[in-house]
Amino acid sequence: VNNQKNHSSANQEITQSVKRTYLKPRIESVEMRPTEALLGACKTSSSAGPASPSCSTLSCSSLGS
Amino acid sequence: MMPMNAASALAGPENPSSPTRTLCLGGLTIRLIGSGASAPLIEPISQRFLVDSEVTPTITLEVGEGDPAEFEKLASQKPFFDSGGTWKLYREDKTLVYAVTVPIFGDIPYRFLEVANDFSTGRLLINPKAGVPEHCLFPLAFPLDELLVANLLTLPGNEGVLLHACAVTDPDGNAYVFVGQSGDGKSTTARIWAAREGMTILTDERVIIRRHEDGFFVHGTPWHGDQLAAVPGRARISGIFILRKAPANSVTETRPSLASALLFARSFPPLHNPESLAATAAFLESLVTNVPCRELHFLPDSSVVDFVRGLYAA
Repeated sequence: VNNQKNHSSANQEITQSVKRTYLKPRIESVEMRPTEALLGACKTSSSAGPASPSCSTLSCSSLGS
Repeated sequence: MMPMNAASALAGPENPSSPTRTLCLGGLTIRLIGSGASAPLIEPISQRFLVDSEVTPTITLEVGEGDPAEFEKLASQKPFFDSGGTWKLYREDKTLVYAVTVPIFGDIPYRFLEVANDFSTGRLLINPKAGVPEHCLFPLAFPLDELLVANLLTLPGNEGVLLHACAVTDPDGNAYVFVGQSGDGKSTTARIWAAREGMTILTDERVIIRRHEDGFFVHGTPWHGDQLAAVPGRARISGIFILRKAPANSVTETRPSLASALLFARSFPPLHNPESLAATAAFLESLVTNVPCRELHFLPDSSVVDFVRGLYAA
């Protein structure tokens, strides 16, 4: 039992020595763009980026940014 | 929809007369088995990713013309998920159906991809009544190719993600992944780096990142941007940079929690599938824990090349 107490006490000291400064939680928002993320965007011929043979006909492409 | 056991029988390798094409994308192999004597058509750039058909495929797809009634039936059903763009997802008992509709071919889907729930087999069919011109008959063209790969990457054991990024390797053996949404500078980055001798642009628009036995690797894809960069290679990742245009070059360290969130917002996970979303989040957490991920504020000229390479100089 004494050994367990000593071990516990040592752990507390270690925990206190590495204790980090408290930082208040805060929310950070990250922008998502559903039309890009869903691979559903249909780009027109005026959009940036080259078109593959099928895309040039369908006016639909994943290409370019 | 055709029962998947029937589709599997048609698509199985036991029919040696069926013409096949096998694509390797991010280390995942997609075997396409044509009907009749004609081999499935592959877009020219994607042909760079063709491999020996003897490799064991990740998924096998039967490719051909479908029954117009199947397409009409899809159009009459309520989709499980609507992308708001060109594709909708329909859920059957044992399969998922991704159907593509574009105005030029009317309001009936002109092609669809039906896959078994375990993504081992499927069918890739074109609607013969849609009047698709011959030079557009690429059954696996966007968005079905990317949707398929995005799903495969989240399956257990595959450990990967499709990212909105360009990737560059330099002569020193370093590989950099520059991640960005539209307008963040991926094409500009690719153009600047391509102008330097010895650089290889794996792709300038979409990359696949996977964890292999010996670390995290970036794979080139056929899904290129302005620079037409689409190299079927892979490289161990030295660093990941989230692009930010700025008046001067600098990097900021990014906490892993924020880094994984920023990458998630620049990835293409199957957003309709909670299990896939969880797998993607877990993978990104592992990625940013093991690979340096920073925000790169960059001046869009050649100085950024020296700046980034300087970070890795011995």
